[in-house]
Amino acid sequence: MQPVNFLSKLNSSLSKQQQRDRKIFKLALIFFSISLFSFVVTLGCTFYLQFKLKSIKTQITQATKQINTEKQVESNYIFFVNKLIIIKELFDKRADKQIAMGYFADLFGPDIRISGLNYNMEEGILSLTVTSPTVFSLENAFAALDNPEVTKNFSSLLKTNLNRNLQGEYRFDLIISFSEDSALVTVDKEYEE
Amino acid sequence: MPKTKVKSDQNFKLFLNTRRHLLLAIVMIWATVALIFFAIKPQLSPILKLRSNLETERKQYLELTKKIQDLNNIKVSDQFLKKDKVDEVLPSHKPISELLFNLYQTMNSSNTNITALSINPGEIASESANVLIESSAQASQNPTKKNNKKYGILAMDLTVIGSEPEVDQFLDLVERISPLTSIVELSIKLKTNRDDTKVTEAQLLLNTYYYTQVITTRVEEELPSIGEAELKVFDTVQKFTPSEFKKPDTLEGANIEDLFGIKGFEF
Repeated sequence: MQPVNFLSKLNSSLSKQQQRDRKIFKLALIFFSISLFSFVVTLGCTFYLQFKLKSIKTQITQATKQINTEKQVESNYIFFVNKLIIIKELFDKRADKQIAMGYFADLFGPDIRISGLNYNMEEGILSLTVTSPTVFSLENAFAALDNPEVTKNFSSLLKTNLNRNLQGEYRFDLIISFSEDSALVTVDKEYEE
Repeated sequence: MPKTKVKSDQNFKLFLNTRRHLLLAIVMIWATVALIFFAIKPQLSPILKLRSNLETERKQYLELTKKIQDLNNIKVSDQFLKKDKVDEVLPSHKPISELLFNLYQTMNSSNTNITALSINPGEIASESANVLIESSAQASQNPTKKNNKKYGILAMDLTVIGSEPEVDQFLDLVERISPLTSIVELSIKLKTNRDDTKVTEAQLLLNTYYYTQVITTRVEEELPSIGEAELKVFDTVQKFTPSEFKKPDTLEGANIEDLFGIKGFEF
């Protein structure tokens, strides 16, 4: 008797479905493996970064301790630098006075002398008392002071209090302040000394 | 057993046998989703935070190692080894004795005479330069506590007499003594002595400067650097007239029994 398979069609449709299921399973397995691998990687990263952070914190603590032992050197150095900065500031401020004294002594020549000064270092205003032995040298001094080549260096150049003393000398006050772009003002003069 | 129940069990077994892979796939997909949302995603932001913390800490560590290196270099640097001269020029206290001694030295080297001297030292025990060691938290809490006054001024009126070149020399030298001194007022007169010799008299107002700024040191703060201009200042300061002043370490006239020495009284 010939056997008859009534489920032959069902078997072939089932095997096709199972093949499709296997494919889906494979894909799911791949995604699962990837995500599992990613999980392991992130976990590893966390542990590695935590370890690194801990070790760098230890190094920082050691470095801080070392710096604290050198505190005296550090504060001495900061004092040293601050003092140099302040000295520079004071040099710069008084440079105006040194430059003006030298400049006017050269400008007036040997007859006329600078017999007094008053310097407001904070505001940079310098007042010079100029003494001239004769009226002729006084006129020369005034002419020199009115020269545009001279006046261009100063933001203000004021002659006041002209008087004549018992010895026949002429005296006047010269109040000056240097202009910002004056070519005369270079602090190097102070440093050359 | 009812017929329907037996049929359902058989169907389920058949489904398990034939669709096993699909079921496993569904389980895996759920497991993947769970892994992503409950295990991987929550770790991402802590990792990023850890990374940025690590970067910050690493940066700080590099700064600290640089500071250690700088401190080691400073200890052997030529400028720092000669810092005493800078301290002499801008001392951290009111330099009354040093100023008087160095003025005397200047007077001798220029052959002039100081005929009048007036000084008002003010508070002797005033606040001098201090070091504040504070953490960054303290610094942010007290930003205005620092002493912003960088230097103090000691004013002195002085009258100097001598020949014109001698007085000129005094005026030149007085601005190159330590502690740093500047002439802020000057009046020069020619005077005739009783023996008809002419002398020059200079009345001066001198300002002497001393350091008063309080500094703050913090471990994480970088060390200041010395620029070209400061190096020039350093070189200039080295050329200042050397002072022979030595800080007294003994008290003269001490160990006396009678402190006041008034006749008729014993103390």
